[in-house]
Amino acid sequence: MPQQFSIERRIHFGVLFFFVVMLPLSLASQTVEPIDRKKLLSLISERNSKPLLLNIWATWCKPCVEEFPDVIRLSNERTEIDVVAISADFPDEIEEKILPFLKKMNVPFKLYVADFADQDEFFSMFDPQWGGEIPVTFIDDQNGKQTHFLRGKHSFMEFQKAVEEVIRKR
Amino acid sequence: MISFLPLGGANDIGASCYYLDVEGTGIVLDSGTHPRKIGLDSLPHFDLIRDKNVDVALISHAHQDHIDSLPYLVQHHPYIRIATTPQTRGVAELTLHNTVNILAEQLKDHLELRPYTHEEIDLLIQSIEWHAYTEQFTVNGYRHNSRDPVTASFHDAGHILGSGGILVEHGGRSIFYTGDINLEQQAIFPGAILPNMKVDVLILECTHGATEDSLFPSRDEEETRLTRSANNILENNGSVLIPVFALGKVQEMLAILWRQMVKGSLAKVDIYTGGVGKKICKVYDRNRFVVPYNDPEFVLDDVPQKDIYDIEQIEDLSRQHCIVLAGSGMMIERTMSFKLAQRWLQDTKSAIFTVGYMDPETPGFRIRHANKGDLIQLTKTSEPQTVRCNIDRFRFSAHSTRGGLLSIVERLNPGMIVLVHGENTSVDWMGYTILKNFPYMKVHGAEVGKQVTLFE
Ligand SMILES: [Zn+2]
Repeated sequence: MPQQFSIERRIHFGVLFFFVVMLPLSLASQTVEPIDRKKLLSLISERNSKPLLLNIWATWCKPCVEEFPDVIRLSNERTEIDVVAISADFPDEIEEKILPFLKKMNVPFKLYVADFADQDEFFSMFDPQWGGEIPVTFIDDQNGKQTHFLRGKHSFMEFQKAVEEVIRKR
Repeated sequence: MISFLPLGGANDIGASCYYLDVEGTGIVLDSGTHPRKIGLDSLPHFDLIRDKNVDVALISHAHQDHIDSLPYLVQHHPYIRIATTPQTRGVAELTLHNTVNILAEQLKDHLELRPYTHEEIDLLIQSIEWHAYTEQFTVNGYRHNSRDPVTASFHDAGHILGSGGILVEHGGRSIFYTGDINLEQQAIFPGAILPNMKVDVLILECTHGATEDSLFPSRDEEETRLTRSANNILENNGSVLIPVFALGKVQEMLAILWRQMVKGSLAKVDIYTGGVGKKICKVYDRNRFVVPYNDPEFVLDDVPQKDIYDIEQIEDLSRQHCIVLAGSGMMIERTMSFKLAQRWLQDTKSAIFTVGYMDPETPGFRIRHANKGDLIQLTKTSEPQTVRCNIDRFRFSAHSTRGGLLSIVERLNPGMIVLVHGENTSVDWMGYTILKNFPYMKVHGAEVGKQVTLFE
């Protein structure tokens, strides 16, 4: 007969699981939250009087991964704008793919992973000119109006220039 | 010990599938079907590995002859890990769902094989892990019996979106399987990026081993010739039918046609596409900044296209003064290009242009090698018919030429080569030429069921 998992052992296991697995995860500074249509809409519309730079990336996309440190640097140096990154990986890849990548960096901004049943629905939330190619970066001014649509990999200097333009406009 | 056992796609093009045993870890390289065959006949010889360790399947690209039997492999080995590039996974999601529809129709009279379902494909795709080009990952199996790990990585093969040669390494030894590979530039992709190292064993595809390089004109020449030839037909109110594979060829031809139209060289007529080929274009577009493209700014979806499936009377298409890109590439019976070809063949003003590989026993091969006025029989059961339209042959290959294959050998400088994925004449020529140029290399022609020991 297979050995039964007694209640005590289960509890013991649960406590152990919490300390060994859950606690380190919750202590880690980085979290990644799934974002659905509703959340994304409110993210885009709630501007708290700052421009927003929204970077869409994925762990499987080499140029995205190469660009990411520049997005971090921008966020650190230009506090007058909000920065948000949305990963186009799958929500069930947070632990296995996204967090291991982020562990190497200190990300100062909010991170999400797109949680849409249909990819096309996710793509349709943004500029109609966007066909889903990544990396891509959208910049909205403080009123939520899109001012920049940057396709492909960009450098810190290019982001900096775009941010200057939005801020100067203000 | 490391051994290699072909299950399909050895001295033939179709049902590519090879089994590697690396010190107890069982690796399946590709799992395709034979495009011309139906039912059990179309599958690799999975029975040869029924009692072996089968731990991981590594998929080089999403063409039918390299991936379409994967759902059956998984039925035999439910715990197998599957890995490929993110792009191949993205494309396979579309092509395998499309295959579900084809199989449901094809296997009606072949009860020995159950067609796979959309649900199975959804689960399969979810379970595929992906690795970007050059990323090394461990593939150790349950009965791995060596202290050194087995690792694998994919290397841009320049053949179609996501295609990757597969490098397997263990204890300082390396085995490189090219998959389908192209060193030369195509309209969209700049060509393969080989691992920058000497490998011990090279498993080399030989598609063009039997074709003299002089038969491959330069891409520019071929594009110009196609443009002129198309203009001739279109000026006389004819239409051009180009049978194409939905994955790879549709995208290449769209890029070429549009480039010529924008230049003003090719008449701006309607281009018809449709079906899965059109959906694959979007996956191409989304990856244009992710993997190497000649021109990442070029967007396939921006090329104006009409949908073949919106036309009520497809027979009328030949009178529409247009260019039609339709699958399948080899005009296999019951596919759109086969149906259209029957109409086209009767139309003296129109033309069929063939642009890629044709299996010798397909309707496409018969059409490619026919001329106006010939009597041809498309299938064993069909009535012979007279070719009334123009037939023109072009070469836009997604595979390396002989010269390209030899330079792969030269650059990777292996001690041993196993030749796969080619008809006997191709394998023979490659084997002979390699031995002549590199007498210190050991060369094997792969045979289904015949195991080769790579390392004792
Ligand atoms: Zn292929």
